[in-house]
Amino acid sequence: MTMKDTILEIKDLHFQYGEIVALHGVSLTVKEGEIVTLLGGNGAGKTTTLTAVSGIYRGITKGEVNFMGESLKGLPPHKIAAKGIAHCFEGRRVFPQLTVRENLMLGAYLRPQKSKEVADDLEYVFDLFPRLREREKQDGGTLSGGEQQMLAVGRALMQKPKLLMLDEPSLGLAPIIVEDIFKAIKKINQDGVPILLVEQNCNVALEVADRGYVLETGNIVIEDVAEKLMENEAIRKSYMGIE
Amino acid sequence: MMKMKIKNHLSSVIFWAVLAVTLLLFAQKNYYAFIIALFGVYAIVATALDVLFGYTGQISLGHAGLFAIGSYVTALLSLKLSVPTAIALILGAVAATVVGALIAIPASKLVKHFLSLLMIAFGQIVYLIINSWSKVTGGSLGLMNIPKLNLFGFKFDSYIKIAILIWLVLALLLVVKVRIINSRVGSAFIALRENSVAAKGLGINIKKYKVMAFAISAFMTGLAGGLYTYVRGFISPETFNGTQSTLFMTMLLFGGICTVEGPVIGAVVLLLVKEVFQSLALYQGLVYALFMLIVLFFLPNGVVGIFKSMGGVVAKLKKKNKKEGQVNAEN
Repeated sequence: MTMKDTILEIKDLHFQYGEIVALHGVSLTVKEGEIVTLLGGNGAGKTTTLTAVSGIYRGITKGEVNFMGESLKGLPPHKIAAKGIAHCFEGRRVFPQLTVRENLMLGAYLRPQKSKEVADDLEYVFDLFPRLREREKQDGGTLSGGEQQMLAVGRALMQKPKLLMLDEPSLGLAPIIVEDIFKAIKKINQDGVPILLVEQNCNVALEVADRGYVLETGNIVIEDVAEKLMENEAIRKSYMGIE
Repeated sequence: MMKMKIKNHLSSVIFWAVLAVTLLLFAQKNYYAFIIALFGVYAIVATALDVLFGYTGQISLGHAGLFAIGSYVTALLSLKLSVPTAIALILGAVAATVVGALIAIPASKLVKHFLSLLMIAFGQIVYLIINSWSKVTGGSLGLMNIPKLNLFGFKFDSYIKIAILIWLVLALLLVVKVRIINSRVGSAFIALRENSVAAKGLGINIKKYKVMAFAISAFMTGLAGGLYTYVRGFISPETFNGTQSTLFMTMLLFGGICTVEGPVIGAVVLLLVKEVFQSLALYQGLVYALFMLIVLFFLPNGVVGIFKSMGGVVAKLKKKNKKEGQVNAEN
C-alpha cells in the first residue's frame, strides 16, 4: 500500500468556526484507488473535515491539506474544485428547479460542454443510475430522496474528479436504496476514482472501504484497515449497536 | 417551471408583433407616444431586475438609486458640461454600472433580508444626495431644459421618435438577456440561485458572478435612467424615491420572473394602472398593494405563468384525447 501515490494528505488539521473549535489536529490520507471512510457520531467533525478540504467554509487555523502533492491552503472553493476534488454534500443539494440533465451538465461546468468526453461521462452516469436516465427531463426537486442522492453523486462524477468526497450518501434512505448507492460507489472506485467517504452507517461504509478512521470530538481516535475496524470492539459497541 | 434555457417560442413572436402594432396605433397621439416611451423605459428596468433577482436570486429594493444615477449623470453631462447627448447617455449607464459593481462587492456576501436592507439603504442614500446637493443636482426642484437626444445627427425631438428608439433598445437588451442566460454565465447565475454551496463545489466563482449580475443589471437600469431623462426633458428627485424601487419589483413579480415577456408585461400593466388612476394619486399605494396580493395569491409565476399553465392544460387535454382515441380504437 505504501507504494501507491498519495492523493489527499491531511496533516494535523485544526479548524474553527469563529470561536468554536471543531477539529483538533486531524491527520488522514487517501491513496490512489482507495475508498477511505471517516466514521463518527454527530458533531465529531466529519463534515467539517470535508468542507475544510473543499474550502467551502474557511477556518483552518493550523495544519495542512495537500492534494496530489500541492497545498490547497488559502484557495477558494472554485479553484479547489478545478484541481479535481468533487464534494458531494450532505443533504444532496441538487438544484431543485432544474432538470436532471441540467443538474448533471452543471456538474461539468468547468469542462467543455459539447465535448465527447462530457457526453461519454453523461452516458456513464446514466448507466450507473438508470433511474436518472428515466427521469432525465424531470425537475431535480421532484425526485425521491434516493434519486436525489443518485443525482448528487452523478453530478459530482460529471466533474471528472480525481478525488470524490461523499458526505453521508446513506442519509435518510431506505436500506434497499442504500444498497444500490453503495454498489455504485464501489463501481466508481473500481473505475479508478479514489473516494473519501463520510458515514454514520458504519456497516455499509466498512463493507466497501479499504481503510477507515474514527473521529470523536475533532480527534482521530482509531485508524485501521476496514476488516480490522469491523472487528473492533469499541466500534461494534458504539456505532454498530452490536454487543 | 423555470427552465435554464429560454426558447424562442412562436407564441412570444406573436406576442411581440401584436404588442408593437397596438403600441404604434396608439402612438398616433403625442400623449400616448409619451406613455409608450415610458413603458419601454420601465420595461428595461424590470428586465434588468429580472437578470439580478430572477436569475441570481439577489433581491434589490434600491434599483431607483441606480436608475437615478443613470438619469442624473446623463442630465448633468449633457446640460452642464455640454457633452454630446448620446455620449452622456452611455456615460450615465457606465456610472450606474460602476456604482452597481461597487455595492455588489459587499452585497455579494449578504443574502435575503440583509441584502434587501442594504439595497433599501442604498436607494435612500442616492435619493438624499440628489435631494440635498442643490448646487449640482438642483435639489428638490431638479434639472430642467435638458437637451434632446441626438444620435449621429438625428434628433429625437418628438415622443414618437424616442419611443421607437427606446423600444428598439429594449428589443436589443432582451436579445442580450437571452444570450447571457443561455450561456455559461447564465448557467452559473442559475446554479448560484438554486444552491450557492453546491455551485461553489462545482467550481463556480460565486462572488464573481454575483458582482457580474449586479453590474449587468445596473448597466441596463442606468441606461433606462438616461433614456428617461431624454423622454421627460426634466428630472426631479421624486421620481427616484423608495416607492419607485418597490414599483420596479412589483412590475417584475406581476409579469413573471425568468421570462422574456414577463418584465415587459408587468411594466406595461402597472404603468397603465398608474396613468389610469392618476387622479387617485393618494391611493396609488393601495392599488400596488392589491397587485402584490393578486400575485401572491393567484399568480405565483406572474402573468406569464398563466399562459404557461394554460399551455400545460392544453397539452394534457391533447394527451387525454389521444389516449381515449387509442382506447376507442382498441375497443
